[in-house]
Amino acid sequence: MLQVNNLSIQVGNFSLHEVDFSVNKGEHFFILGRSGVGKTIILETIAGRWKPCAGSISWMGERLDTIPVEERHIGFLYQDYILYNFLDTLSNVSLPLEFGGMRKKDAREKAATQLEKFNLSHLAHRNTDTLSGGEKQRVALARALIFEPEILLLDEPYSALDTDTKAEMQALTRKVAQEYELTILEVTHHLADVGNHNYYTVTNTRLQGGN
Amino acid sequence: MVLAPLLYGLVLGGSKLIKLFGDEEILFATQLSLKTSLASTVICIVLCLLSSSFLYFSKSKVKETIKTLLSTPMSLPHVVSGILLIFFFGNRGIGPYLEPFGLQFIFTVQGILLAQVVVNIPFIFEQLWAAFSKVDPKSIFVAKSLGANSLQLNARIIFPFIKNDIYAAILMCFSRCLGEYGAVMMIAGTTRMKTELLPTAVFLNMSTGNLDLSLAISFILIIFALLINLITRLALKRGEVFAAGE
Repeated sequence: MLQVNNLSIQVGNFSLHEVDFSVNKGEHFFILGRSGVGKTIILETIAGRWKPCAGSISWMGERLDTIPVEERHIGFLYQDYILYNFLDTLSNVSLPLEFGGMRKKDAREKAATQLEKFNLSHLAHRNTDTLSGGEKQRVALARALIFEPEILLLDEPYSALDTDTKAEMQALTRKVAQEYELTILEVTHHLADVGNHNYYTVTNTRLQGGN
Repeated sequence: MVLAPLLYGLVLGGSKLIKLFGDEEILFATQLSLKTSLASTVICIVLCLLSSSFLYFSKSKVKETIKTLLSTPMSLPHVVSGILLIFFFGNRGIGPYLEPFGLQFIFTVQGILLAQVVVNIPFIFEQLWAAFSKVDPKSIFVAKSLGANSLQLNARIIFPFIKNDIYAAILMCFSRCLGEYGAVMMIAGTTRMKTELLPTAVFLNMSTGNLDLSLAISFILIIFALLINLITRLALKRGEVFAAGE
């Protein structure tokens, strides 16, 4: 279980207080709220970008917020993908394995297999700037999952996609969630995306001193 | 206004080039200029990369103060920088304490290196700081979430983002070191066959009435400047083409 206990976060003039929810292992959980209310900051704090001022985050009973970002082993997907355009698609996907110490040759072989799984083999040597939105999202997902994280954090992953591509990506996410036994936290501001899943609505935020 | 004197200098200096051939003093000045500029560029770039990288990742509250202090000498006339170096590194400053370690800066080649580095650090620091500031913090965070440690982050993510800016900084630094005059003159002087560089050789020959030689040396400096500018533009253009995925 992922437990977020009474979390307070301060980023610049923006603060969040009393963020409190828990997510069962293997669950697909949503974080809801209007734009600018701090949903992304919650995800980023779980992943380790921000240090909470108070409260705690734990995974399967062990504190997560005291571990450095690079050791948390959490997959993260921004809505604008954040692919590295000085690397081709294959190199983007093999990056996490190389960071983990795998030999480049082995990492690229494993990345090629991952691309095949995500129907991206034909894009292996393309510059990521030349890919469509849907393709970029699939590459980002393939990369985030290649080191087999237990938790996947999705920050409005489909907001830039058309309806059909969004439906395809949602189906893909459900498929990989089952295959990798993932616990997923997804940020959205559309209640329609939530369906029958559990969710947390972000409310207790404060902006100090104006924008 | 900019081009006319440059072109005139090229034509006039070019016609005097023959005076340079076989001139041992000018050969020495050229070699010393190139060697010191190269060495100073390496020192500058390493120091500025380390400091801008350190400050970029630092969460210290005095970050802005440090940046301001590092950039302030940019507004100083180079002769003033030279005077300050003389007093600080000379006999009235820390000079006597550095001598046992083989460091002597007054009227020496070491002084040339010191002047070139000190005068250029503020410019190169600002250039590299601007490059670091362009890197999207989300790109860094995502790389860390994929498991990158500090070394991997700098080498595999940040460096590729800013490498064109680093290349431009290297070329700019080399060019500025090659042309440095005020601070170098103050601390190292311009002793023939010892601390004479190309820019100071121009002044030395002008002041002794040897105008033809001055012009010829100026021609060399103009050619160096043109070459460096051309290489910089070609390198940056190549970087744009690469980034576009062609």
